[in-house]
Amino acid sequence: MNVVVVDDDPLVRLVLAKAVSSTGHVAMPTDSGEGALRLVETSNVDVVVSDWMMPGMSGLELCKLIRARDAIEYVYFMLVTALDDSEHALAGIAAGVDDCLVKPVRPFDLKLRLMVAERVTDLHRRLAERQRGLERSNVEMAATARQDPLTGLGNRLKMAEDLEIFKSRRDRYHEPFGVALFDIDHFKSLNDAAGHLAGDKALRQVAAVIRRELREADMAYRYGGEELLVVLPAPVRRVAAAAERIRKAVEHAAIPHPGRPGPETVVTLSVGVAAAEGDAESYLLAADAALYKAKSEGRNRMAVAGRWFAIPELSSQ
Amino acid sequence: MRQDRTAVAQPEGMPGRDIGEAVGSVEESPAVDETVIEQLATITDGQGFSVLGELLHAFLSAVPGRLETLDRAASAGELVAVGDQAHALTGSAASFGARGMADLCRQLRASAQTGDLEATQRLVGALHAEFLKVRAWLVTFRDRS
Repeated sequence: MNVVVVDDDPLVRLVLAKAVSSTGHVAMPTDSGEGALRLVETSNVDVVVSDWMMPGMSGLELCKLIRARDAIEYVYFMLVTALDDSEHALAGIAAGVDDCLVKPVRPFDLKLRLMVAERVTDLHRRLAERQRGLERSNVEMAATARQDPLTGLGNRLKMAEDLEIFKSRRDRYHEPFGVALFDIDHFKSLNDAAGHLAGDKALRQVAAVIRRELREADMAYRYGGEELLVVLPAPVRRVAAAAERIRKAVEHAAIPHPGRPGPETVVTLSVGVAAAEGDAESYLLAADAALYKAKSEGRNRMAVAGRWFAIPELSSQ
Repeated sequence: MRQDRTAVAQPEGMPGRDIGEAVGSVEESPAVDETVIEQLATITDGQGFSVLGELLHAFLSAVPGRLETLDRAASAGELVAVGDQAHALTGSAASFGARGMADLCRQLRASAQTGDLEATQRLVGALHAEFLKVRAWLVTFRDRS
């Protein structure tokens, strides 16, 4: 173990440091609490053996500062007090000190206490490792459980959770948001003509284009078979603009669509947009109705639910 | 009987338990508690050799300078400095089993704190004398081991 020895008296420090080295540990002597704190912050310190009474920072203050650090690694703290300092020892233990030694420290006592310290720090280390491992796998599992394996987008579970968050922000801070429900046009004929693997591939490519078009705060989910939902924290006109941008980007990506009826030969999307008003069920239904409208009006286009409408571009002639 | 009453004579005893009583017994007690020295003798280096000699050498080298500092402060009547120095020296002396010195240091600190210059100067003199006894004891100890 790395053992910091703190005492302002050079002779006491020398004896303690030698006693620590004698037990096979690495002694790091320093003459002040400030010096000890620097060592704890820069070196891999397992144990601190500190005098209580020192000019400048006291041993107790040092212990409190070490305990206040935001670090997983545990530092075992031993306080050295005068014989008649039982009150101080009590206060020390209450403040996070692990062990108290009485001055003058007997080398044999120090050896025993260091054995205990080693056992405790070893336990702490193993706990910390297990904790880190658990946290890591929890994070991984939580992410996996919320991801659609095919597209890499969020799944329905993730969508439901995120919509709750969007909703609470809307209700609390009046931050509007809207949804855009995309559907791949004539997806069934793609599957029929080229097989389901080709269908999966097209879906993945569309998802990739969508992800590229989104900003950090925007979210995308696989809503159903070939339906993808995008949620944007913005008023509906901006959601509509983004949806239209995504629709065009997918068209320009020229993902092959074998077996598609009509003149088109690439994958296109229809999209229904709705402002997120009321509960999720109603605005998702509104987006779905708008999507149906876009489909029935000829596909590869956007329709927006409610009062908002897009201004058609003026024809150039 | 007198020695039995003081902490000095207890093999597992700890220094300073009976400060008040030990004052009078400083004269009769050995200058150094040998059990403390034997404990220090168990400290070894990387090769397993005792570092006692190195420790005792460090002690004998450092103390005269610190006594001089005490002298200067006491002569100049700087009682706060005397108190601080005495306190610092208490720990060093106790760590090396020099209980008489440690006791004198405690008394010195007390007299410095109460502002008793005469007692302070007398105790500084006594501390010098006690250190010479400690030194003599350690020389004897070295030569017999």
